[in-house]
Amino acid sequence: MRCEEARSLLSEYLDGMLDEEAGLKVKLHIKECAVCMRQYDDMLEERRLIGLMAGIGPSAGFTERVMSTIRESLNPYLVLPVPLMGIFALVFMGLAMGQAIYRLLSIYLTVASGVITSVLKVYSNSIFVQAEIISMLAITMIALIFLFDRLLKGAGR
Amino acid sequence: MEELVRRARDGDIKAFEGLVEAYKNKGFALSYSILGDRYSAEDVLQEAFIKAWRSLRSLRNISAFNTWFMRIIINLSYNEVKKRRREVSIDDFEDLVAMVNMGAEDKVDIQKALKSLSVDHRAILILREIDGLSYEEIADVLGIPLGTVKSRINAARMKMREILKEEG
Ligand SMILES: [Zn+2]
Repeated sequence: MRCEEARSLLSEYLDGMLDEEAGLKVKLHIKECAVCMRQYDDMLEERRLIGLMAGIGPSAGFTERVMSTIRESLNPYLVLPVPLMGIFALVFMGLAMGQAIYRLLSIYLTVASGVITSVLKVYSNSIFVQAEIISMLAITMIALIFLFDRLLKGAGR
Repeated sequence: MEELVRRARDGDIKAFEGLVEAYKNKGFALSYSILGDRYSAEDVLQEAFIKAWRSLRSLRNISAFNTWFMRIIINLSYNEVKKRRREVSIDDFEDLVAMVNMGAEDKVDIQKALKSLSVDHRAILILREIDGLSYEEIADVLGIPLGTVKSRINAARMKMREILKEEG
């Protein structure tokens, strides 16, 4: 193998990209040829220098800044049900004075909306939160049906 | 790591935070090597993470996260470079000195090399030496043929050698 050919392959040789035969030829050549060996050593030194760049990184607090930007930009359609549930809770409070079942429901909704808000901050749009929101809405609907049922009976009397 | 990517893709912010921790230094080396000053490098990296979070759901192949993310950084960094052609260029790797713990001579050498290499040469050397991407992965990230990857890496190394040889 000539110097010119060996040198054109040194970079790939360094990266282990050559097939066995070509790799062996380069290996034998640089063993014999001091000039090409020198060039190979220079490439190893370049690799070491560039490798030192692995020690650099963004400033302290970078991860926190990225994460708080992401949390602020959560999908509004997922957060929307939370204030809605709060309103439902208040309506129940108002309409269901004296009825223990409604009082319990309104407490449940108030607590659950708080829990969901904080869970959203951690898990965002995970399946778990979506399921939780759907079940909350289902409970709300059932409660509404109970409420209308009671109002209709009251009106019929 | 793949488990972390999978959970983040399913919307787990905590898992994504783990990815930010795991990839911030590698990603920073890449954006910094292209842009040359730490402030814009950090801005671009932050933008890249936010973009990754938003489009993570479209990532089919979880094991491709590494190259997928590097491609986002490359695209955003090159956009920034294009914008900057019309502006004054900033620091030019001056602040590398403040960032790393290495010998004075090495610092001078790296700064000299980074300053003199072209953007393309800097980016490809970082992808290879810091991010440890294979030639195929680099071809994928940069959207260039495999043959070009080989010749560009070779040319970048030759050029760097020349630069370091100048004035001893
Ligand atoms: Zn030779």
